Amino acid sequence: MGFLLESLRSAAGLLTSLDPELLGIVKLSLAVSGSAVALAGLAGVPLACCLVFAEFPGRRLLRSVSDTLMSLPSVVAGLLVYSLLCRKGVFGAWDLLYSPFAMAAGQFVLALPIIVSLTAAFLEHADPRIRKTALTLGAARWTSALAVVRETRNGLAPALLAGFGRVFAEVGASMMLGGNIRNYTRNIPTAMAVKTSEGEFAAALALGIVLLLAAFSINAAVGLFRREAERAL
Amino acid sequence: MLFDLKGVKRRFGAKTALDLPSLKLDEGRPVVFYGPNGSGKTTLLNLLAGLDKPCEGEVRFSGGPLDVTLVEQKPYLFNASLLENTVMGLRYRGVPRSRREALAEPLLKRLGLWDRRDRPCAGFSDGERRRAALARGLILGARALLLDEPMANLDRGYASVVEALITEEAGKPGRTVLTATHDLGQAFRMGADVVYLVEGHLSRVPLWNVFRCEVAASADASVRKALVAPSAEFIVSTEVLGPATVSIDPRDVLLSFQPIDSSALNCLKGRVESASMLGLEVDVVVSAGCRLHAFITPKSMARLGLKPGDEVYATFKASAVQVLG
Repeated sequence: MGFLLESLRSAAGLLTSLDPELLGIVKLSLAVSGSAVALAGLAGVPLACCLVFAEFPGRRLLRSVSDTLMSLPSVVAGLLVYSLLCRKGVFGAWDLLYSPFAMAAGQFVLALPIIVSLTAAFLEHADPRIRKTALTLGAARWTSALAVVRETRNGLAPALLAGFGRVFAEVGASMMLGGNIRNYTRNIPTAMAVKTSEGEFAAALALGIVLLLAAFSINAAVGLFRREAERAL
Repeated sequence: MLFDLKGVKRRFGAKTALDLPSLKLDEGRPVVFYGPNGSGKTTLLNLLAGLDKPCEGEVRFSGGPLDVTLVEQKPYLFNASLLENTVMGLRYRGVPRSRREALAEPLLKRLGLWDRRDRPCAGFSDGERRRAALARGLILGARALLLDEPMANLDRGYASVVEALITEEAGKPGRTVLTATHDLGQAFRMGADVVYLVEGHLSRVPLWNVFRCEVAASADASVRKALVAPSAEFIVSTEVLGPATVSIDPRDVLLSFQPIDSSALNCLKGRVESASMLGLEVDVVVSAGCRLHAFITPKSMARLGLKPGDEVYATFKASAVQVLG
């Protein structure tokens, strides 16, 4: 117990003194996960629109594939991107492995199905009159889908935040694709893993506290947006 | 020919909501679809607007998707200001901003909404939402304007404005206004053709029980009475006074051997003149100070055992008496 308290005290010290290495780790985590989720959102919301509003064979199948991939193990996502980026892979010549880009690519693969499935579920439950009204006022097919997205935009934020929550704390893909290189590809989860194994509990704990704070803020934000969305419906 | 419907059927589950072997609607002729709740009026409007597809048959429209618009009974207003909502269709058509506002201003002013143009629609009352949706539909000047119960749930004072706007729109060249309504008076005043829908079927029965009468004040200030030649008197719910034309839907008339104690204000004693099959129903003519048609099912007919000469009571609500004009 004394050991834990001691570690907590040093962790608080590291956090309040804004330890440069710690700050760098937090910044990298935010930058990698933030860009991965932003891109997954840009790709995922239109994809969700296709799954909900377009009519093509295999639509239902794709939808359940996306639902299944929501629980894709992060090491499998890591392996997938690894096979593309490694020397023998399709993009091997570009030497992208063990870089923040590779980490973001892995996180993109993890976040995409979550964003697609949650957005699709939300769009499916949107007021059917939105699309109907847009169509009868002369909107083209895609403009009318855009109208539904616009009208339900508050409800789409939880999908993005859920995607962020998934990738911000995952360790498998980041470790495989980033390689946990100090001051380059070391993010919060990989740093925690390595610090713990090196016996630096205080540093690991400080990072854990940052992770928990981030998780808490994300949950609070999801709750806030959900309430907003429910009020709008 | 604006719309040409052939063999159109629309089913919801096991229920056939609409079954129209043939219906043609001409350009420029206003038409009113009239019928009780659940008669398929809204289903028909959705098909005409191209928002729904028939299960069988085809709906042919001589225009494109931008030539028809529908104003729903419970309209959806976008999460935006009233003005943005009003001009949404014009935006979809690429009309420039200055022109959009110039078109919206006179319309919103007449509907008493111009002062609220910058307010978000979320806080609007039902009546305001309906007026806003009407403005949003009217502003397009579409070849076919479809209105679902445009006169229902309007705030007091706006019924006449809305009716005038609709009548003006119907009078413009190249415009066709198709309205689903409970209010036959509107059809009468607009000079619209009436298409009668009963349980999804067309009924070529235009108006029944049409009487010229004199509407007078009654002892109870909340209702009026209509004096019908030769010697009938109905309680009616109207604001009109003086000479008027009224109509009673024969399906709203109940027949019984004993007077019925109910909320209906009209219970006339009469005698059965004749009873004959009319389509799937029996048309019973009762002489009760005037000749009153009542449509009942063959089953009710058999159960009551009605014969010409029987003494019966005809019961109907004051609101079943439609004042046409």
